[in-house]
Amino acid sequence: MAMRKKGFFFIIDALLATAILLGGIMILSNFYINEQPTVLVNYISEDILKAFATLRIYELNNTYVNELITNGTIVNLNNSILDQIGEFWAADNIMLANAFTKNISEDLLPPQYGIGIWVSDELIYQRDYPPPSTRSSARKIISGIEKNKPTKGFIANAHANSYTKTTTQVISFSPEGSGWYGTTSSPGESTIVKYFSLPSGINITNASMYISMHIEDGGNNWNVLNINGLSSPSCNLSRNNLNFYYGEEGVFNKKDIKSCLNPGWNKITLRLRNQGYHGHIHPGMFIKVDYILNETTVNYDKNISLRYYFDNVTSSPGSDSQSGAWAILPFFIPDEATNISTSLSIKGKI
Amino acid sequence: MKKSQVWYTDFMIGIFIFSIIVVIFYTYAHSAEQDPKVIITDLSVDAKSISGSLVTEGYPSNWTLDNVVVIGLTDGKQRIVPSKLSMFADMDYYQTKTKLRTNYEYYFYLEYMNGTRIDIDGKDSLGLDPNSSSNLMSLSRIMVYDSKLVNMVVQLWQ
Repeated sequence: MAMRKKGFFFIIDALLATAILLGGIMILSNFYINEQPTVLVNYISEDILKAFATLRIYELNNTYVNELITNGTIVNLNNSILDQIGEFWAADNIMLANAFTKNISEDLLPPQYGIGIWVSDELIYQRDYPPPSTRSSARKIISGIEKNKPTKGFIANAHANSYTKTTTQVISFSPEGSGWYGTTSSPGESTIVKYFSLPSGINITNASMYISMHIEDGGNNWNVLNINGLSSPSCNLSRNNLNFYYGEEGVFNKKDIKSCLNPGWNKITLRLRNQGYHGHIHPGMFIKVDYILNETTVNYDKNISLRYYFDNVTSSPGSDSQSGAWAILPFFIPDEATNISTSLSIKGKI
Repeated sequence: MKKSQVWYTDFMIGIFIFSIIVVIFYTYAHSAEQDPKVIITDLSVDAKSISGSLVTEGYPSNWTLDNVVVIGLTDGKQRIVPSKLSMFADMDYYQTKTKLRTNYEYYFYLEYMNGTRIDIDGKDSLGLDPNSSSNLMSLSRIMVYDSKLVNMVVQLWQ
């Protein structure tokens, strides 16, 4: 009987221990199973880059982009977003690339996403609000662009058929002038008329005139510069608008003349007056024009003929009747050139 | 005789306890296999694989319901091809699981970046809704659909 009681105790102990073990395991299992859903973000940057390389300009329904298309800033509607950013970058138009990327990304990406785009380590646009908690980055090669180089080429059979290029053309002014001496009422005056041509079909992106000359800093005011006969203030410059070196008659200014120039022929008129010396252009005066040009290639002839024009310089004597127009015209012949022949054609009035 | 009976009772009790321990052991071992960390890793691998497959053209690249080997929804350049999306929607759920090579359940939908669901052949999603599933892996991919950026969301769950 005593043995049977011992057996009972043993069974109860075992059952209690088993129940405790099972209970413990069940509780632990519940702790393990309550996991939160996980979202992976490491594809986001790669996906956005691929999407930007896929979406074409003509697909975007964006007011800012439409404006750029309307005003001719964006020419190729078949460009992808990345192509367009690359073209702006290649044209060194970072501000435009920034505005374009900002508009596109704000339109396409919700505000909880930050974004940063760099081209060749040059920051184009960055949106970092809210502050990033997770970062994801990706790289993609955009081919066919290089800063300040032609942005697009269509290559077939090893020669280019057509291309779009960004060009900077410099139109230099030779040292020239005259109009000796004179008085306030009768100053000596030299008039210089310069013609130069810009290619047809271009889109002028920037044009600046770097003015370096010597003229009268006293007496009556007059209009020194006129471009293409236009009357708008941006295409004219009076003596009083020039910044003279202190106490001297030398002057150096930079003027934005983009709105005054056209594809084709352009005309610059300068009136250089002087009372105690003579008006003249200093070396270093030039016009710099940046434009985008769509061109079709031509068969280049190895025989190259270039014509350099003198500006039309006239001189009106001042009160002391001294005068004498003059001009210097530097030009460049490449070292590799052979069989050089030159001729000088003079057309003048005495 | 009485001694042997006592021994027999003890033996039976011992066997009983041993059996319980064996059952507990196997239950625990099975539970270890179902360790959520292991499951999440597994779900993650499958989710990456499935989303990676869906952003491709699939195989063959112009696949149809009759010849599809790998389900892909795009033109290979992140742009969703509506006809492929439509075929994906028309496929039997278990057939798609086989093609996507997963043993887990999946839930698929497209949404614009503002969160609005995109209609797929009259449905706002494909697959089985996870509801309050404990183990779930959600993976988003940004793609182009109808000239807009959209989120393709794949949720894999158990």
